[in-house]
Amino acid sequence: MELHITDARKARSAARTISPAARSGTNPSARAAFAELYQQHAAAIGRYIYHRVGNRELAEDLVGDVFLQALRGLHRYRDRGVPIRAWLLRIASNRVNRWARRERGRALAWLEAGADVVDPRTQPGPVDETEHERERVRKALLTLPPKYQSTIALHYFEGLSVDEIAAACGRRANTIKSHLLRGRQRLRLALENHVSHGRTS
Amino acid sequence: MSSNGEDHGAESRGREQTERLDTALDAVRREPFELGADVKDRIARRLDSEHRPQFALAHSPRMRLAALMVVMVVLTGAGLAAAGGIDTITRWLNLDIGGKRIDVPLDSDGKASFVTDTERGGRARVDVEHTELPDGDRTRVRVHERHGPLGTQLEISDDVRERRGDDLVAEPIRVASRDHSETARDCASSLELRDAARLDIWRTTTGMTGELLYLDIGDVTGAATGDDSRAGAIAGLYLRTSADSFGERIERLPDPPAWFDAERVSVDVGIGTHGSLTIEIHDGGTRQWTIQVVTDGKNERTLEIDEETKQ
Repeated sequence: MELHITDARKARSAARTISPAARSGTNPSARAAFAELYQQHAAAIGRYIYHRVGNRELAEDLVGDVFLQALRGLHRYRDRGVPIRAWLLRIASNRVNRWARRERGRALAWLEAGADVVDPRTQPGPVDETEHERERVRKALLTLPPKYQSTIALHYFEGLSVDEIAAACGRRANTIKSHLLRGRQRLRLALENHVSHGRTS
Repeated sequence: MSSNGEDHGAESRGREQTERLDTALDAVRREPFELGADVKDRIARRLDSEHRPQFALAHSPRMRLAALMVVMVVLTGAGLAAAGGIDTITRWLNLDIGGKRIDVPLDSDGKASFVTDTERGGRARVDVEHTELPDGDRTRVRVHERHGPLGTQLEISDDVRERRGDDLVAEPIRVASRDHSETARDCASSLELRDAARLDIWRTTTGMTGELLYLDIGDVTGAATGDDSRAGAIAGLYLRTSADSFGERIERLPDPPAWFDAERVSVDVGIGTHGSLTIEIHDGGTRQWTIQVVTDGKNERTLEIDEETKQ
């Protein structure tokens, strides 16, 4: 996933376009601005959210939340060297983290039971080994503090560099490095715990 | 020999664990995903319909400050049989404040006033005035939430009301008080601070409780305001003080230095005269960042910051 610096200019342009349109509520330029943002960033944002939640319907709903949130907050967007995709990823991270807080208990139960607790939303049919492995990673990730979840997902799932994550998360690069290290350690422990207690042991 | 063998075994296990973790992470990374073709239209429909009122409000200059609760007002009239057989008409308002239903009787002047709890964990006074006019009724609702001398107020303004069916919906906005007008918009509310890391807590002999809090950007959720895009603006270091005399006060401190790591720093708080504070944050070794919070006789506060690197 690449972050484009030039996006900031487009975001400001979109904000100027959307602001009067939002007041009227009918101006087609609001739609046009939304369409532009969506076309450029929806695929990346959708992929990131899906990789974290592992459920298509939920991911699509959350993508909707993120774009509506972003459109409402566009007037607050400022060019501080943060590309708009990074800003969208930040909103997406916070939205998913909000969901993740509620899911943590369910994930722990799933891991404790060795994945015998089947979530019908995510496992409607037969589950192959790879799919089980993905679900195991997602559930283990959910047991970590949200800041580690975002950092690990952006780096390992989406391939963002430390600097890009720093821009997306609004943190310093050194903090991101530290979060990657600690998050990885914690994730490994969570997964190993699952191996030792679960059915894969 | 056996020590070398144990070392080798531990190293081998560690390598295996690392490889397993990398394989597991890679399995997620390689999973393809494409949004459904109808997602864009679904969002556009949401944009057009359910979110239009908030969308419009969000661009009101005053709505740069967070809307924190919704008050729905339904005016209802009913005949009550009063003692002595005299029929009187009592009108009351049904208010829905953040999902909590409250019935408020209006006095003969169409006014009512009451105090209620707010979503932010504080108390708010709600004043209502209903007037029957030749060209229609007018209901004014004012909600005041006060946290203390330097806190914030909530107030409904007439221009952010709308009518949904028979219900009058008023969305109060947060109005910064006094000299905090510029910074209040980026100041976290009490509710938004619930996930903040507490770096230190202290209590003075006068009964005031102080807390030094750090709100990490990753710990900010939109649950309090429904606005996840606020996360970047409100993450930071906060001083929260509370006492019976002024309620609760939340002040945002300057952003900490680059080496600051909430999970590793040590904090020492010293309490001076007139409630002044010295907050020392250090990394346990070479670096120290000091904030002096000085309060003068007029209750105005100033900050002095000093960063020191020891050899």
